[in-house]
Parts: sequence; structure tokens; C-alpha cells
Amino acid sequence: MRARLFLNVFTIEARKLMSYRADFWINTLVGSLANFVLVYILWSAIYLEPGQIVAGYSFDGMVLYYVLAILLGRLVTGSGKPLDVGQEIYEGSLSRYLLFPAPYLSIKYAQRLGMMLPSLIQLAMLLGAYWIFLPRPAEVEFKALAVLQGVVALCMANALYYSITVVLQLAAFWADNVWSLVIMMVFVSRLLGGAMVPLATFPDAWQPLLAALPFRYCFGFPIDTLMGRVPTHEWFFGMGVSLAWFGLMCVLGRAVWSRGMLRYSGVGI
Amino acid sequence: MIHVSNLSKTFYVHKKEAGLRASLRSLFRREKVEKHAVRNVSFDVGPGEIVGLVGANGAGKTTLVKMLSGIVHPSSGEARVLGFEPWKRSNALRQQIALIMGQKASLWWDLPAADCFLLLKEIYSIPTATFDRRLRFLTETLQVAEQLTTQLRRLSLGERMKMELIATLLHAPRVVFLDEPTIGLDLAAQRSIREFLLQYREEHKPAMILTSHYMEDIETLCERILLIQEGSLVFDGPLVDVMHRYSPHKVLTAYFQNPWTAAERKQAIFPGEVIEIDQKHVRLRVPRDEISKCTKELLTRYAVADISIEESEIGDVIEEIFREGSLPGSQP
Repeated sequence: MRARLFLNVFTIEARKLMSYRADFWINTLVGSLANFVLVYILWSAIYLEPGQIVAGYSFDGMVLYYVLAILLGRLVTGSGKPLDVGQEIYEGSLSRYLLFPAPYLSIKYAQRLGMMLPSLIQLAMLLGAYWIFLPRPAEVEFKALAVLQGVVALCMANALYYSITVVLQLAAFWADNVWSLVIMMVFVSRLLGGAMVPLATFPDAWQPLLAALPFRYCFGFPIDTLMGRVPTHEWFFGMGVSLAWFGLMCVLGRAVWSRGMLRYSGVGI
Repeated sequence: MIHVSNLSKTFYVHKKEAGLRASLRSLFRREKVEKHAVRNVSFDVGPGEIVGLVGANGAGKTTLVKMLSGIVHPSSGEARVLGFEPWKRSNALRQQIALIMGQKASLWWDLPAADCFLLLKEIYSIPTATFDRRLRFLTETLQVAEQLTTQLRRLSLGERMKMELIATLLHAPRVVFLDEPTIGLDLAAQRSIREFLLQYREEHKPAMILTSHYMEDIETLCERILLIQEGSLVFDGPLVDVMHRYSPHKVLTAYFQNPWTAAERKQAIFPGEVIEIDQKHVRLRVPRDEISKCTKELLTRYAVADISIEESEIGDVIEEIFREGSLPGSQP
């Protein structure tokens, strides 16, 4: 897909979303802040003693983890708005894209990135508020290399999450409604990815499995990297696993798309 | 420009009876039903030709159009559009074709038309100068220049359809598929779209396939029609041939110089079948090739003030063909 077209789709989607001011502010204030207040109260009840450490995180470290999980999670999942590939197959609106001399899934990815622009603004605003109002954890030292590795891991997380979601939603070629599959994917990926609780709180026996599954690389891995908790050799290993999953999803997606297109009717006869 | 040979499409659809029990049963077992949407259809369309695809609801017109525009894969048969197999969706083909579906919006509702067109400019890689020239021409011709900056969902149906038409033609396609382009529009909007399509045909000589339930669309735009019945092509030829083949009669109306009494009406012998008669006039159904003989006979025998000869309505003829179910003497 040409860069100019990609950029055009990206900006149009961003402009579209930001034209809905009420939605933007409700999303920022209610969506992010309410979520944060909830986990803050919850973890306050767990961290009863000063200096207590849970799964390697101090209370302030845990707070930072959640701030990042809420804000970066939106950058990974596309503003929290579900991808509409399945819906477009179901409703037949995929047809219009099939006529365009441009790859459908690249257009959808550009749209998805465009959707994230409001999330970036929310991220900047809420991180600023965190910096001003909340104490920073003593064990976390922001280093340029860790931030750079974190940003790269975040980009990879975004592409990986998109590829998994697309493959699942392409099931709409066979099943009329994939909504329950999408909800399940959101729940499982957030739970096993470390967006609900840090993965370090899971039992040790689970850790190899969590490291092998793709979900960790969508949430927990980029957050821990930004917090300087992932040594460089582990980061390379994590990126390798992410890339392998991404490659697998691309191959799988291509195969499912080809088979699915043979069945597509565009709704109606 | 379009070549179709023995093209068929069969869908497998799930059958579900009404009611709660059937719904529960369908959770475990569903019955599949074969639906032959298109059966062994063959035809060709040349440059500058507008071909009307006519058929009842569910006849397979839209499926045929979807296959030719590359949206749907056929079950069997061949088709070439500008030399390409459409369902392979090569970019070289997609740069040169367009489809407008009157029943489905293809533009983005939340955006003003101007933004949608800019996006299409990028999608089709249209040079800026060409894009500006074409957009100016299309918006002026269709009289929607002032609505360009309004969100699409705030436009009237007619304005929206004109925007869809502009979006379809911005890249100057060589093959255009029009699926019910005037559906739901008022008469003035229908007319302006028809005039515009004729003008576009004159200037660009594209191959066009048009499906419409409005016979006026077909009569105004198409010299040739394809009649589709239950997925099969039952007639391919000039519109006038449909009339000659399937409407062998014309209606002749004679207006009497003086009012006729009941007795006069009873005694009169007319050339042709009487459809209607009263004091002032008689309407006769007359074989097409006997019309001049019958007219002469009427004028010689009776004091006739005026005569009119009418062709049956094409819509009525086609409706009749579909109602009867089969077409005697038709050749796919």
C-alpha cells in the first residue's frame, strides 16, 4: 500500500474520531480515569504495609504499571474500539473495499492507527497528570534504551494484536456472528497478556506458557520494557517470539482470507 | 470489453424454520439448501454499450454483477472484464471498473463528500489536475457542488446518490456496473441521473451494465437488454425485439364522430379483438403486422373522427413474460 494513501486513510479516521468531542472527553475521563481509580483502590487494599513488594512491584510501581496498562493498552487495541472486519463481512460492506485497487487489510490497519491518535492525546494528558500528582516508584529508572525498546515493543504489540484480531474476525466468512469470539479474545488476551494483573503475579508454573503465548507481547512485555524490568537479552527473545507469532498470523490470515473469499456473497443474491 | 461464458453461481444457505423449537434445533443441526443464483449465463458487452439486466427480485441480477465486478467468486464458468478474470481482483482491473449499488452506501457517512473524494483520489492515484477537472465537471453537471462540504449522512437521498455516482466515475472507469442507481429517487433526480449517464457514455464510451426495476431507466438508457429468470438468461437482444417477439399486438383506439347507441355497438363488426367500447370510442387489440389493414378497414366502414395506435408498455410486457414463467421461442 502506498505511503500517501496510508497517511490519507490514517488522518481521515483520526479527524472523524476527533470530530466527536463528547465521545473523546467521556472516553478520556470516564474510560481511563474511572478504570484507574478502581485499580488504585483495589491495590491499596492489598498493599497494607509501607514498602511491601508484590510480585516484584512496589505500590508505586504497581500504580505506574496500571497507568501504562490502561493508556498503552488503548494504543495496542485501537482506542478500545473493536475492529469491524467481521461486521463488514457480515453486513456485506466489505464489498466496497474489494473494488478498490488497494489491499483491504492495509486500509483497515491505517484506519485503526488513525483511531489511535485521540488515544495518543489522552496518553499525553493522563501521563502528564500522573507525573504531577502521583509519586514515581523508586525502583523504576527511565533509561533512554529501555524507552526505545519499549516503543519498539509497543509497535510490535500493536501489529501483533491487530493480526490476531483479524484472523479471528475472518471467521465471519463462515459464522454469521463473531461477536462472542471477539469478546472472548479481548478477555483472554487482557488476562493472559498482563493488562488486568501483572503476569508476575501468576504462579511460576504458568510462566513458560505465558511466555510462549502471544498475549504477553501485546500488553505486559512492552509495559515491563518501558519500566526497565526487561533485560536486553530477554527483550530480544520477546521480540523474536512476537515476530514469530506475527508471521504465523499473517500466513494464517492470508489462507483464511483466500478460503473465505470463495464463500463471500456480499449479502443477498 | 465484457465476455461471459457459462457463468454459474450456487450458494449454500442455511434453512431455518420459524419458531422457538426450530431455533433450539438449529443450535445442534442445520439444514443446508442449494440456491442456484446464476445458471450458465453467456453474453458479451462492447464499448459504449449500455446493457439492461432485467429480471424479477431474486432472479440473480445482483449476483451476476457482483461476479463481474470481482466481489463474488463463481461456482463455474468464465468471465473476462477488459481481459481480466474479475474475481482475481488485480489492481490493473480495479483501476478501470466501478460499481454503484443503489441500495448500499459505498461512501463514508461520517465524512463530507469532499473528504471521501480526496480519499478516492489517493486510492485510484488520480493526478491532482485531472481530479480537480473531473470533480468540477461531475459536481457541476449533477448540481451538487454546494453540498460537497456537508457530511454525507446529512444529505438527501438524491444528493447522496449523486455523490455516489461521482465517486464511482471519478477515476473514469472503462466498465461501469450500475445496480439500481435510481432506486428511491424522485422523478427529477431519476431524470437527471439518466441524462448524466447518457452524457457520460457519449464522452467516455464505457461498457455499462445496468440493473433497474424502473422500466424508464431501461427504456431511456439501454438499446439492448438481458432478461434473467431464475438465474438463467432467457433473452439477449435489442429492446425493440422484446416488443416484437413477446408483444405481437398493438392497441388501436378509434374515436367516433357521433355517439353510438347500444344497438349500433352490438351490431358492429371490428377488425381485431375488442378490449373496450362505449358511446365515444372503441379500443382494439390488433396483430402488429395487420395494423395498417385494420386501420384502413375501420376508416372505410365507420365514421371515425380520430385514431391512435399504442405500443404496449415495455414494463407490462416484461411483467407478463415473468408472470407466465416461460418464454416461448426464447434463446439464451
